[in-house]
Amino acid sequence: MRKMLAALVVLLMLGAFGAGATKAAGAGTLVVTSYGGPWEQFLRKEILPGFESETGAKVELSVGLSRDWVAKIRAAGRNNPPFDVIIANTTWVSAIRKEGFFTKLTPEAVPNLKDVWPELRIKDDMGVISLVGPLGIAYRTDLITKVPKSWKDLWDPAYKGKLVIYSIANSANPMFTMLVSRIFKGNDRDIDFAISKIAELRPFRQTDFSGDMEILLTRGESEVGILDAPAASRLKSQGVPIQWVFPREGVFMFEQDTNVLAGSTNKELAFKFVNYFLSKPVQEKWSASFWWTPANKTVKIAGKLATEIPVHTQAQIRQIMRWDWDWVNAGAREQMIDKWNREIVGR
Amino acid sequence: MRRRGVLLSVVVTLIYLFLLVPIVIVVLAALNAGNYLAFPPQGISLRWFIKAAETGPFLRSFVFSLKLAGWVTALSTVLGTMAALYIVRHSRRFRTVLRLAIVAPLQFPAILTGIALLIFFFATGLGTRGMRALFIGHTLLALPYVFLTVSAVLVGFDRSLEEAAQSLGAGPLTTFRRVTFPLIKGGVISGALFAFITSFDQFPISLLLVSVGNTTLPIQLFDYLRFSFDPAAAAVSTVSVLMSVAIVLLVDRLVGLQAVSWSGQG
Amino acid sequence: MAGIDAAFPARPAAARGRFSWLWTLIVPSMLLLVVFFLVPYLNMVRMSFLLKPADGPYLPQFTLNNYAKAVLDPFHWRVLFRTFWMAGLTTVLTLIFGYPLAYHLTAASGRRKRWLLMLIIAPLLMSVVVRGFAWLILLGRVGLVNQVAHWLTGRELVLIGTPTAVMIGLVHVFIPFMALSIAGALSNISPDVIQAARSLSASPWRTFWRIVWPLSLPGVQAGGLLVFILAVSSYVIPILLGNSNVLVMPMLIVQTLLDAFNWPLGSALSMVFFGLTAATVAVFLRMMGRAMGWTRA
Repeated sequence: MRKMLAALVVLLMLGAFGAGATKAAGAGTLVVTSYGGPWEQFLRKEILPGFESETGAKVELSVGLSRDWVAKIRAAGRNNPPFDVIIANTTWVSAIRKEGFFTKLTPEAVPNLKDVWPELRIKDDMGVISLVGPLGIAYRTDLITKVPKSWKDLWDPAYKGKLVIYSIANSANPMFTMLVSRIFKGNDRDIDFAISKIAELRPFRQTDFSGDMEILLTRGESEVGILDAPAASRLKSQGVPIQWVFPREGVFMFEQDTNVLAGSTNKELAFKFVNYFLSKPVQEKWSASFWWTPANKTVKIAGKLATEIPVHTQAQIRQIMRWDWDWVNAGAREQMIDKWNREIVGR
Repeated sequence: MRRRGVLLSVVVTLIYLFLLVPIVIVVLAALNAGNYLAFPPQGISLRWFIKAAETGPFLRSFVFSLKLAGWVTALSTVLGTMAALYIVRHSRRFRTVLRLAIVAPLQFPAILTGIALLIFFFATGLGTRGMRALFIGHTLLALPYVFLTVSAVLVGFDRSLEEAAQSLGAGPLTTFRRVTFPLIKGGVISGALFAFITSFDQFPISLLLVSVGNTTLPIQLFDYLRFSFDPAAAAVSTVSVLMSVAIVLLVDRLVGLQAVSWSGQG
Repeated sequence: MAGIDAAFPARPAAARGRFSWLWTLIVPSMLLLVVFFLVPYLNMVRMSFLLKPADGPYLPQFTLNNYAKAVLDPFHWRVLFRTFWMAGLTTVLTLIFGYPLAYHLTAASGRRKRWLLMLIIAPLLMSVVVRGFAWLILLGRVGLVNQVAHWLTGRELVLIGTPTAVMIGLVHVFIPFMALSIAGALSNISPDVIQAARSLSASPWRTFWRIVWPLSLPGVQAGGLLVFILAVSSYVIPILLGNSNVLVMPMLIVQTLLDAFNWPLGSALSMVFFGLTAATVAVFLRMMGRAMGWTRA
């Protein structure tokens, strides 16, 4: 009887751990990151099947947000990455790029690199920006009469109490902070000034993520916000009375910074995936159904689409503000979080 | 006396209203015919239920959550019952320590347990692939509930029946099956129910431990709502609430909710 | 943890030898806890003593700097204070709302009781995430609550992004836990005791305060403990309803660990947070223990 029970215990333990070990990713499986919601659905339905039938490989998606993936990649270490390809915002990805987590994309492995706008290539091709969601100002056409034209207009008393701004947990926040420093001070690095300046905008709603930004604007909780053009075009198509503005000082972007992990055991396939993602037909799909600005310069944007994708010519792409991520990652990020917490949050 | 009764009823009704308002809102939002979440709804339709059903990731994560919660419930119910049997009845010297150890996961912020586990899984090379990381994380949090409910039943347990069975020659396993288990069944089933709900609704642990291709429903909902605030998410929640209610009703039919000890002594 | 002990009166152990193999019952749970709970947290303790370089997660070099930074910064104490008073107030409010619910539930019977119980459990069955979003809609600038407030007072209430909104969310999430705990204790009170008090012509009010309330204290303690610990460590509700504006400790810790990439400081902050939570719980249990001892005497 005693033996039976002991055996039962052992069996249970084995069963417990066996249950977890049902499947490990095989050799022909590629693990790629994906945001949730419509992005994931579109990826699964429209983008992945083509790649899978072309290569015979299987793509598994790791759904979440940039900062969670970066946390996982760091926790896992260089040699054992949880993903093969990460597509995420530069705000997060730049930190681990600097620490050597990614591998170089060569023109041989990724021939479509040559079709990417030079502005969207990354130094040494340690990754590439594959899609761009330009961030400008969006306002409710039915609630706002005074149309904002520049970033500085956000400080107009007419918008007091009607603003929504990305919180420090969102990729856009560090960029917005640097933007404020740039437009008022002429350089990106005056964090203290920028955050005090943002504090002048209070009271404003804060939001962690783009979906929530959309909710607030859609429901009229807030009337003016920082929104990416693809979201604005999508909301418009759903009948929300909203208009996107290209501010006078320029736009910044939610960029899809696409990288192959250096520790990936499946690099060949990973390069093929990046190449496929940059290919004209795939990029066309993203812009036609999702209004993302394609990185591939051979994609033609014309007619109605040209107004729905307000940033698509080289001249417009040049107007996207770029940032010194090395500086951000060498301590400025922590300083921004700290200052933001003290100045804006919970006083 | 009479007036006090009325007062109590009014107060209690208000509290029930407060408890149920968000559910009503979500159900109404799911039935909304409009394009986005709005209140009051713009007409009634089932279109969002259809959209949710057609949306692969929702269905997949729903099934995955069910499967995961099933495994978690099975393991934590067995382990928790065993632990309760031992601690309540047989442990002496280490009683307090053991009990505190088992309920410890409830006392630590789950999100931190998630982070600690994440670092640990990668440090040991176990990784978060497959279901195992989630399975272990959820079991840690479900176990204390089973332990507590079973303990609560065992404390008021009359040992003489077991002793009688044993004196009549029944072995320990037979005694357990024929005498002990029927008597503690209520505690075990309510513990299992708690374990199921804990796993099915687990958020902070899952946030960090979800693995490739395996997203749980709450995380899927959160991710979805972050990027698109359409009523499909409300429709999925409505279905999942209905399912949970069905499970609770089933338990009620099987053992009777009143028989179940709901005291979550933590 | 005398309070928890009280709920488990000692039982005579089985005769020695006869059930000596019974210790195997506890082995699997303990193995699970040691390997997947204790060790990961010890790893975190170790992390809190490591050095954070400017570019990279940590270096294996012993330092006390993280603790110095965590403890000496008054900002951290403000966040800690806010976290604890919000959790404390949440606990008190859930008690105030949960008690009548539990009392009413225990007094009911049959089908009616079953339905009431179902109503209390129902909110638990909806994901906290979804409930958070529902409150976000309800409490918003154009939400139902504000519409009513506007109609009543003519003014617009700012709720989202305030501790009030977070508290409403937390109280809503935790009332069922409190109510069910108290109901458990109340249902253990023998009707005979109350009958006896009544027959001694004690008023209902007096009966309640002298008999029912003291006997329900174990449930209050259990519920209070559960709610406080869950509230102090809640993450989703403060994020959603606090609108990133009500910074509580779990948010700050996650931010330090995941946003600022500072694992050592994040671990040190966690340790400080644990220490204070444990201390608060110990004080609470002592107080409750005394209250229960006193009323019993």
